[in-house]
This record gives sequence, structure tokens and C-alpha cells, in this order.
Amino acid sequence: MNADDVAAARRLNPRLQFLESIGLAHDPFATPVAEQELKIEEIPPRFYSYFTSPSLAAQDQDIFQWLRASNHAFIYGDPGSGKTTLRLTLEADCRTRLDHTLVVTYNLGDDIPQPLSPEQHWERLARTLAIDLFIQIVEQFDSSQSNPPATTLRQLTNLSHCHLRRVVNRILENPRPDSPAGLGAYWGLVNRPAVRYVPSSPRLLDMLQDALSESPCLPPPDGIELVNTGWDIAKQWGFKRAIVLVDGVDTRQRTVEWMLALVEPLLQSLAHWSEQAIFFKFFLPTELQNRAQDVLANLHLAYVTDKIVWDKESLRELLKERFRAAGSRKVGFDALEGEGLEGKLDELILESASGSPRRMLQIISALIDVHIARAPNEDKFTILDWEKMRQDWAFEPPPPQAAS
Amino acid sequence: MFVWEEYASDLFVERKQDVSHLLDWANAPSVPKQVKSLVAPPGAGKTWILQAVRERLERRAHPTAPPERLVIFCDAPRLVNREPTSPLWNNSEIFKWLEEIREKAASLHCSVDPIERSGLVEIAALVQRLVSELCERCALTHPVIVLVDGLDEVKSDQAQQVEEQILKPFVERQCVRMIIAHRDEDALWRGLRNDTLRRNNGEQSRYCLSDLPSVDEQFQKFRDKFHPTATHLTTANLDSFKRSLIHYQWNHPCINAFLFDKALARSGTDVTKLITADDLHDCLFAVIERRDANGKPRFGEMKKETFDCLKRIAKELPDDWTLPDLGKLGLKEQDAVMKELFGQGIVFNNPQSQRYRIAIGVRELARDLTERGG
Repeated sequence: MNADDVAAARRLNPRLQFLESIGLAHDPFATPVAEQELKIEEIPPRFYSYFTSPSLAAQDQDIFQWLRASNHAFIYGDPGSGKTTLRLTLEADCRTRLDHTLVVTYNLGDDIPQPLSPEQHWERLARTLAIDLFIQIVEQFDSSQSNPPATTLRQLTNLSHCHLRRVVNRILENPRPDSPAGLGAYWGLVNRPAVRYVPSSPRLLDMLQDALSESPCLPPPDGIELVNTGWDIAKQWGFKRAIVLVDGVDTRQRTVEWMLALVEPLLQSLAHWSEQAIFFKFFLPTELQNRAQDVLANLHLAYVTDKIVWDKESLRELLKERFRAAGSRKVGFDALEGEGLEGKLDELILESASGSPRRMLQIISALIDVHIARAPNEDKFTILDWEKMRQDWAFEPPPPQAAS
Repeated sequence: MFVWEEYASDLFVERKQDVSHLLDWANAPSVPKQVKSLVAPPGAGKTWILQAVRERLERRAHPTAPPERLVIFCDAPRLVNREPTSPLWNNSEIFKWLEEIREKAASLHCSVDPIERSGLVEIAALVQRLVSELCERCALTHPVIVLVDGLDEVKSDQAQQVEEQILKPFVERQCVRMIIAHRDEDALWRGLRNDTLRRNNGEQSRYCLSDLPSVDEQFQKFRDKFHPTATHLTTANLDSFKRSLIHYQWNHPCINAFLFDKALARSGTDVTKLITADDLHDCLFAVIERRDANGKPRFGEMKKETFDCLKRIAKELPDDWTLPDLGKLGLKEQDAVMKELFGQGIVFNNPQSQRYRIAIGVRELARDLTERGG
């Protein structure tokens, strides 16, 4: 969207008009769902600028340091506690910290009608590994001291079921896209976010040209060999270990049995992957914690586990980050408190969030909508807005607490 | 005679404690975060501190000897074109800068490929390649230290690109540590825009400059260096013009230097009138509009209405204030005058108190000026 488009959208959208009037350059409360936030925003996504670190229930160390260690890890969280946000930010962190770590996102999304067999897992994992590896090779091309042959990229194209071919074609068609992410602008074609500026150089373009020159796409091998093939290529490109981020386990169904069946083949294989220097980080719903721990207890594995928690201070920090990312120096809603809410709006929001960032964003978003419906030209929220928002509450019960 | 640009050297910002804090951090075997913020108000001597850190870390046996350690000084305004219609990068300066790094690395027996000057290669690719070679090819015994200055003196979109394409490739590597100087504002807000830099920074990596040497000591040193004939003016006289200002605490090196100079230049006249309202006015403008290390204006001229707004806030609001307090003056955060004050780092939000304030020194001087009807 260019500046004129943004201005036009604003004229038509009372919510954007209101947000602008209170000093926000965009809507940082548009959606409380991480993956949606990632998609609606610009390239590179604003989503990352919202990040506020949650705490871990049992650890006091930096959350990224803890998650990036060479071990298998299980991180649990309630719905809306920010597991996916954490997973996405960890992925971005790994892709922008060049210590020879390959990061692979293994999202068990809603295209899975029933729990997968081990073979189905390996096929999906190999495909996603190929895509992530290709992207990280291109991103780090000028930072890499490795120089494997172009055939390795051709192999990756095969492993990706040719999804990568489209990306390579687009890069070769226009190696200097007009984007602040450089070549990262093309990652959306394979459903990956742009996390850094990716320059193009003649050397890279030559290699991509070579990678394309042989056709057609050959069928990849079967079974666990698929993943091993991808990992062998990664090692040729200088990667020394891989971190696999497993998320979306509860996207399709939330029954414990179903979710456990979905991840169990992965749990059973963890010892094998440790030997390959491939470490899995599971982002799982809290209700799976006891059953997953039971399975793991029988495997005699080394792993770490913890749970995401949000206290009021972290939520306050998150609120401040949202304002900051939208170009405002507000640190909360205190400047926007009208009749009946004087001195208590921030506290009401934080209390009512009940330790869930998603719920907090839902409250704020609903409050803005109610306010705009009532008094779009006033910049202060009143108790009428708050009570109407509670009355109309359409999200997870209970409704936010009363203002009085 | 006093030269404005030289005021700081060894007179006012000789803050041994600050320099040694940063040296300790640079020399520590490990640090929790790779990026450190050096935070201070405008004119407090950030550039001088960075340069002092560079000199100490490089520790050359003599001026032409090779440095002991690889220290890279990144002066952000030098790397970009500041004219609105020009391309983003000042390519000739960037090539010069990269070449300087390469030569310095070579003097440390770290062989780096020649910088490719073909227009086909993007600046970001050149920086990424250089950093990769420094970190992967050279057996450096200590982390490379990158010192970043002037980042909040370039436009916001330029700073964003400098962070993304120049600084981020350094921070992506474990062999690098970075110190970024910025104004006294919440590091989460203004100091760093880039998500990677921010993840590697954080509240515990923020270092604020400590107090200055005593004002008497500053005064004597200043007089001896710039006005050696004014020996009849002693710290007793200093006391008289210290008393003439009610609010200002003589805690800002740039303001001190300006006022000392004005007073000493008029030392033949009545010492009780050494500091006039015009001096205070001129001093505030001088601090706010100081030129950068390249001799270019840091910001455009401050408009009269913005200056009036600054004085009003200083006079009518407490040291730390909220946006509702500001509202009582009929002002909003997003008003043009406020944007200008925020943009110049004169007004900022204070992360500790979660309140807003005017930069220290400037606030008190503005109050003194309004007391005198200026």
C-alpha cells in the first residue's frame, strides 16, 4: 500500500480515523491472532515489532537463550498465551543470528484430517525443511563461507515438491524488488515471513540460474531418508545443527487423545534426531502437558520443559510496545480516560485480561469498536463504552470486569 | 579562543567511570546482550565517550602504529545522503568506510577480500560479506567492537535502513559487540527500531552517563584553556553567576561551556551581569541545534512556536509529567510542536517513571529563561 492508498483507506474506515486522532499511525489492535497479524501487515511485517517477552514459570533466564539451547524442549501455554508469537519470533531470531543453526518450522495446521503416520510426518518435515533451508541459504548467501554446488539447490527444489521453483523464477525475473526486505519480499510465495533484508548479488543469481537449469522435478526418496537428504544438504551449506519448531498441534482438534496421537511419532523419534544434532522445540497446549510428560518419561530422553506465564507488568509492557510500534509515545490508555474511567482504564484492561495477551487485545479492540459506534469524534473512552463492551462481549467468557 | 566543537575534549566529559564501564563490558568474556545503549541527553558528550572507548581499546603504541584490537566506528550521518531527493546511501563514504575497516583488519593480520565496487552488488551484501569474513576467517582473539554514533540524527526512515542493512549484519554474528549512543529516551521507543537489534539490547543493556566533574573544576579548566588572561575571574566569581540562575544545576557540559564562554568573554564588565536572558536563549538554541561530527546541522532550525511550547512545558509542568498533564495545557502528543520536540530528543518518555520529561539541563535553563521573562 502506498501513502495515497493508506490515506484513502483511512477516510473510509472510521476505526483508522479514530486511531489516527489518538496518535496511532496504524492499528496495533487489529487482530489478537499472531498468524493473522503476520499476514495483514507490511513486508517486513510489523508483527515482530510488537514482541514482548513472556516469562517462563520455572526459568529466570532469557527465553530465547533457553529455547535456542541444543536440546529438545517442550513449552506449554494456555490458549492465547502467545505460543505462536513466541514460535514465530524465535524463528526470526534464529534466522538473524548466524551461528550455523538451521531453523525449521513444522506447523501441524488444519490441513491434517487425522493424526499422521511416521512416514507422513517425514514427508511433511522434509518438504518444510527444504523450503526453510533454501530461504536461509539465500538469506545468508553473502554471509556464508561455504560454497557447495548448485545441484544442492536443485535437490532442495525437488524435496519441496517444486514449491521453490516459483520462488527461484520470481527472483530471476526481478532480482531487485522494490521492497524494504529485498528478496525477502518473495518468501510469501512459500508462506514464510521476511525477517531480514536480503540483497541480491550476481553470484547468487548465477547459482539460482544453475539450480533451475535441469528439469523436470524428480520425485524425492521415501521415509526418514527424505529428512536425512535435506539435512545432508544443510550440512554442506555450513549448518551444524537444526532446530525444528513444532506448532499448531491444536489447530484442528483440541482433544488430548487426538493431539497426543499427532505428536507421538515425533516424540518417539527424538533420540534419533538428537544424534543428528536436530533438536525439536514443541509449542503445546497446557492440557497436553501431563500426557506428553508420561510418554516422555518412558523414553528416557534428555529434554527441558516449561510454561508461558504473563504477569501484569509483562502485559503492561506489551501494551506499551503496541503503542510504540504504531508511532505513539503513549505507554497506556491514561491519556484517553474519560468520564467514569479516570485513573483506572489501564488497570481494568490489565485485570480483565486474566494473564492472556490475546484476551487483552480482544478487550481493547472491542472497546475501540464500541467507542467509535458511540462517539467517533471524541478521543476519550468513558464508562459507557466499557459497560457496552462488556455487555456485547463475544469472546471467551467471562466478560471483562465491571468498571465500578 | 574557545572553539565550540572542541569544548568537550578532556574538559567536561572526562568521565573515567563511564569509559571504564564500557571498556569492562567490551572486554568481558561474555555479555548477556550483544548491543549496549549509551544514553545521554543532547550535548552531554556521547561522541566523546565513544571516541575515548575506541582509543583505549585500540591502544596504539603511537599514532601510526596498528591498533591492538578491531574497533569499528560507525557514524550514521556519514553513511547516508541527507538531502531529500538523493539516493539513500552515500556510496562513496560507505566504500571509504568499508575500506577503512578492511585496512584496519589487515593490520591485525586478518585478511579480508577487497571490497567489490561494482554497482551490481548491494551495500547490504558488501557489509554481510565483510562481517562474515571478519568473524569466520580471522582468528580474532577479542570480539569486534562496533561503536555507533549519530543514529538519532538521521531521519527515521534512514535510521531504519542503517539499522537493517548496516548494523544488523554485525549483530547477527557472535563475534561482534555493539555500543549505540542515543539520546536520553526510552531505548525501546527511539533508540532502536530494528527488531533484531532490540532483541539483543533491552533494559539491562542501557547505560546512562554518570555525573560530571565538579563545576568549579570545569570552570577552572575552561578558563585556563580558552581565556587564559581572565585569571582575575575565580571560582568566587563563578559562584556569583551560579547564583544568578535559580534552576540550572550546572550539570550539562555543553551548556556549561557555552555559559562559561559568554561570561569569560565579558570578564572586563560587571561580573554580576555576566549571564543575560539573551545568553540563555542563545544557549538553548545552540544546544538544540548543535552541528554533528561532520559539521552539518543535526536538525532543521527550531520554530518559534516550538520553542515557546518548550518554555511553557518547562514552566508549567513538573519534572515528570503525563499526557493528561499535557492535555491540561491544551497540547497533545501528536501536535506538530510536540512531534518536533520529540523528534529532536528534547522531550522524551522516561522508561523508569513511565512519564515524560524535558532533557535535563535544557529543562532547567528554559525555566531560568522564563523567570527572566525571556
